[in-house]
Amino acid sequence: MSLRLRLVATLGITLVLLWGIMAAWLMRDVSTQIERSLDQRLAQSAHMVAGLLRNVPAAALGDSNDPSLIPSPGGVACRVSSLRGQVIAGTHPELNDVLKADAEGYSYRDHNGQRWRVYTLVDDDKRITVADRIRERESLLSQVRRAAFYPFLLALVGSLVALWWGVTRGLAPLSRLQRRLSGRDHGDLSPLPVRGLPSEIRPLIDGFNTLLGRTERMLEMEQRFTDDAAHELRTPLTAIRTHLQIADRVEGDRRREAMQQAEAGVERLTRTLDQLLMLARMESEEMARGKLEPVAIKEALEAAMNETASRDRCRVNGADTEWRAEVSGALLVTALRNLLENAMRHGEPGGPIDIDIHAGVDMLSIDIANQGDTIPPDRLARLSERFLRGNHPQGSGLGLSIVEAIVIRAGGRMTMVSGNGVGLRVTLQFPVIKSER
Amino acid sequence: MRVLLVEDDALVAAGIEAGLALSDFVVDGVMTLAAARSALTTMDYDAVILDRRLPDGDGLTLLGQWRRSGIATPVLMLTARDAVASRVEGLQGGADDYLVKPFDLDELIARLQALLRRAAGQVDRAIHHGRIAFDPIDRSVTLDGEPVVLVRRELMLLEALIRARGRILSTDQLKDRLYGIDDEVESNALNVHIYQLRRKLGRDVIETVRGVGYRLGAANEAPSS
Repeated sequence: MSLRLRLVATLGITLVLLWGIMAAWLMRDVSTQIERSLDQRLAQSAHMVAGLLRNVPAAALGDSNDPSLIPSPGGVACRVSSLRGQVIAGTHPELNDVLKADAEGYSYRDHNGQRWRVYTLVDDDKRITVADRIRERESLLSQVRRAAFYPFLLALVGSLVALWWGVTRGLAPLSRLQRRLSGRDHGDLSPLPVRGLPSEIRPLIDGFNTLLGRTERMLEMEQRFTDDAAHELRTPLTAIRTHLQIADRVEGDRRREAMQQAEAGVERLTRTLDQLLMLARMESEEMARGKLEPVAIKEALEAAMNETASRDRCRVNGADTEWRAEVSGALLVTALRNLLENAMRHGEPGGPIDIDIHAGVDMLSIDIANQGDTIPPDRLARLSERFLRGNHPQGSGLGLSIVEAIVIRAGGRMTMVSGNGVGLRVTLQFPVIKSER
Repeated sequence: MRVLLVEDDALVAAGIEAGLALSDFVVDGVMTLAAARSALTTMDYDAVILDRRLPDGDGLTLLGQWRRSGIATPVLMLTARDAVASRVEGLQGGADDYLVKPFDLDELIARLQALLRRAAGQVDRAIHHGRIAFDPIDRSVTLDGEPVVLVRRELMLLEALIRARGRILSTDQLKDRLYGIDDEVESNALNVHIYQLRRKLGRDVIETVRGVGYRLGAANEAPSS
């Protein structure tokens, strides 16, 4: 059900009900009030007759056998009689049935299918009875009703129309928004304008815009990753293909050289693929959760230094204990190896690599720092992005991404700082295994 | 034909250089946009092979700068991105052709030849000049329909002169088209090649413009005596 229909229906029904109840109430009040004032008029006319009679000598009223007839309009009747019931004077002799009321006060009488309102007043020795035809009263009432009905109807219809218009107008920003949304291109992720929106909708659109922004950034990152992956995979493939085609066309030493180059391309492709797969596997959590065989930090570091042939340049502090981190040994070696490779590649040539290992309450930190130029903050922040590679042709640009993935999977943290002669200090923090020593 | 190769990956660059050398191209390889910029100002290239992703930026940016400053050298773009949008972007950015990695060496060479042919306003595959017909793809020359055997540098010299379309080429310009930076060139090597070409194709094939250089001789329809 549309919001507009719901609003209009709810408000409209409420409005009609309220107006109806009010009108009924008003009509009842008006009827009672008219009834009462007409009754009062009836009584007043009886008293007026009584007052007049008091000033008229009894003899002037004539013989009771020949009651005087007073002409009068049709709607009202009057009769004066003695207490014994003898008619002295009256307006409508045919209405004796109606006017023959004994009890003092108001009553209803029927005559010839017509209903009369009768009032009887006993004054000294005379009984004065006045009557009012009910039909006259009813026609007066219906005139009052009719006079009130048309303004009421107009006001009701008017307020319903105003309601419809108000609701439509109030919901106009929503319709505009809907038109704007349905008119957009599929790929359009630009934020919706919030200017001129009512304050109830604005938070909604703000939230929507935030979501759009996040989606756009995510798509951009995905796009960049695809582009980067394509570049990293296709470049060595190009080298391989080209060198193989050359090998096909030349002889002797040149052929051997071309084959060697193709081989180098295959090696690079293999390395990039390995790292990509590693990253993918890391993300599927298979490795981090599957085989957790923690090794002592010292052993992992030894292995990493051996694999990267960086032992001569490393200055290790604090690795003399058997600390173990809650991370699979193979992954820890991979992380350390990547960091050492980076330090050798991007650090000051031949400069030392400082490795500090220290244990906190429940976290174990490994610092690996190389000397070199300060990395600007904006680049530092993007350093662990995939395929972000220095000007070094050997790297795949995946090293730090992999390290970060390993650390995060193990429930740890990776932080990077640069400056004051330190080219890059990477700190890895892993949860410590407490039960083992 | 001298080609500037702008490619940051050493392995790929080595492959392209070796491959193009097999088709008698003289290739200068550079790895950065900055090096490419300065190379094009110091040397006259017949074509440029430009990679898009380079350490100091996007090849397309440099291409835009070249095109804005009126440099019309044919450019063949290399890229790893195969999206249509990216190819369109490259072509609209001023590239004459676009090749997605990994490409076939023959395709690269064929496209380069086509670029050179189009740059010369030529439709036919073979270039005709009087009685001489030169096929840049087969690397073959005929005189009155009869094949003439030329060695590699002689072919390159003839190609340079034919493609110059009667313009005078200085000795240095000719050497640029025949030899790479690393080639050892003997001082009279060019004269030897010119002598050989005249011997094989007739005296009038190369005209010496004294003190300036050489140009292709007038197109004679009748055999010279």
